[in-house]
Amino acid sequence: MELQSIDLFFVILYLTGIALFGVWIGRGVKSGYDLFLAGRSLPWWAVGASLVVSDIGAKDMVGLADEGYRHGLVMANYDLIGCIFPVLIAAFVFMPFLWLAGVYTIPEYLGRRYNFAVRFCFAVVWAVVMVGMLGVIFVSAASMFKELLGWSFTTSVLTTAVVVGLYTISGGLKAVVFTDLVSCIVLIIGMVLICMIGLDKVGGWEALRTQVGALPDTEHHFELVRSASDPDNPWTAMLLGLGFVLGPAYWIGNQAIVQRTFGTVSQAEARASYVLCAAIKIVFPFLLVIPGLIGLALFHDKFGGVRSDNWTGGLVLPELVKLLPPGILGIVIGAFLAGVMSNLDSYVNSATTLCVTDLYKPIFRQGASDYEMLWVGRLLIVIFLAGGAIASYEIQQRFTTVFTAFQTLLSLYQGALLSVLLLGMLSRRVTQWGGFAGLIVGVTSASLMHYQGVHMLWVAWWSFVAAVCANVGVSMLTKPHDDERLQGLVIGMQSVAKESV
Amino acid sequence: MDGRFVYAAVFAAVIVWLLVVPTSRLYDDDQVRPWYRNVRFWAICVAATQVIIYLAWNG
Repeated sequence: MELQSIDLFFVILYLTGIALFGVWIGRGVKSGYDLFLAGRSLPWWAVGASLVVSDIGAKDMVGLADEGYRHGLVMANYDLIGCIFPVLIAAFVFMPFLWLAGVYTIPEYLGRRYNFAVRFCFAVVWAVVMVGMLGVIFVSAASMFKELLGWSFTTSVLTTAVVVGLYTISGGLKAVVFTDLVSCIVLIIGMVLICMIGLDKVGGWEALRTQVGALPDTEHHFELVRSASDPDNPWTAMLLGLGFVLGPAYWIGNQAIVQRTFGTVSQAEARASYVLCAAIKIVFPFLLVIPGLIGLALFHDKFGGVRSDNWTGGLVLPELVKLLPPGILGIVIGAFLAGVMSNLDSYVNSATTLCVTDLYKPIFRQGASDYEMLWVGRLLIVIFLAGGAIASYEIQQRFTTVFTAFQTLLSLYQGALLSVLLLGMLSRRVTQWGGFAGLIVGVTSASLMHYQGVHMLWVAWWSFVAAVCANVGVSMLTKPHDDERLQGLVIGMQSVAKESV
Repeated sequence: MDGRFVYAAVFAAVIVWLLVVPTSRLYDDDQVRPWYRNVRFWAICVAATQVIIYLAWNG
């Protein structure tokens, strides 16, 4: 596909503009505290927008269009019951509490609440998963760039890695959050344009319903909530696995998400940023899934039916974008670049923070200065980008869609993470060895169920239940930390922490 | 059972919780805030929108 000069202008403008803006906004980074938490100076409105695009990125644009094509509107629940519900709860209960605890990372909190073993295990699991996440993001970027710009897989990966690396290395979390703010605006404009122009091509909303409804196996494509007997997305599994486990674990325990909230000025701003995120997210599910339905109406002859065995993931959105007129196309590609970069920078920055705070400093260099942590962090950003690029080759071959790859990775340990986090925050009776047992049992049971072919939403739910049982059972048999040690680490025991802040 | 009503009930429960939870649990001070600066108000609006989406959308 040949891009017009005006489209190329927008693409180059966006790439150079965002890199320069990121480097400029992040100037003055002098320590690890600045790199990882932006010196706790971030405003709630920037963090709120950053939260949205740290979650919604290229993998969701490409992946949810694919899933919308195959499964229909039910996939919007990943951002409704799976996001807005846990975000509202986290905004008023967990984020202000974690902000007050004054931690850099979630494993750091777990280490203080339980013991170093729990902290170490979660830090290692997160670091490995984040490399996988980076790989997923690279794959989604490459599939789009190949279709739209004719770039090879390697060129796509290298270009995105260099641009993101440039401003993330120099500006840290502050650069990440403010470039995310720009990305959020561009992303919304781009997705609205795709939906409007796509619907116009189909002939409007009613025509879309008619055309999709006439295709085989699409009788439930416009149902937002499926029946409990649905084989792919029963409402029970979506509520228990997604709404009660994957969603809360993601919005309370995902380092890439919560880290920007730790960088806000105050508890109140941390709370406000989450509520703003929930408000913006109301429109996103539809902006991301409807392109898949439009793609089904327009390209079912090319890609095959919704149950096609020859399905190749990552092609619906690029095909749709090709319909856009010159000028608009450049803006939409800019939106896609925004999605790629906002996701990449968040995961790279958080993976680095986690490795420096939870692995490098406590294990290798307990006396490391803030300046040393800054430079180790910068080196790790390069290493993580390289690791993600390598992982992307493997992920490309293993999963049918990038969204499935992402959710499968999460379902393996989110149940265990949520159980350990929730019980640790809510109960003083839970012990360090209870937490450790919950972690081991949760991850092991999730892996076994995944191996047996159990649906990932049920994997998340039942691994959570198993982890809670193990945590509670072992805690009943072992001695908890004394109350003095738990001050500021359990909700309702915050007097000392508040006074110190 | 229709899952839509269960999903709507989840968000309705969030609204009820936001309405009854004491202000002291939500804020560091007892200051009265105008509605447009009150995050509890905006959170209730978001949750109410979700209730409407799940109840109104019928496939």
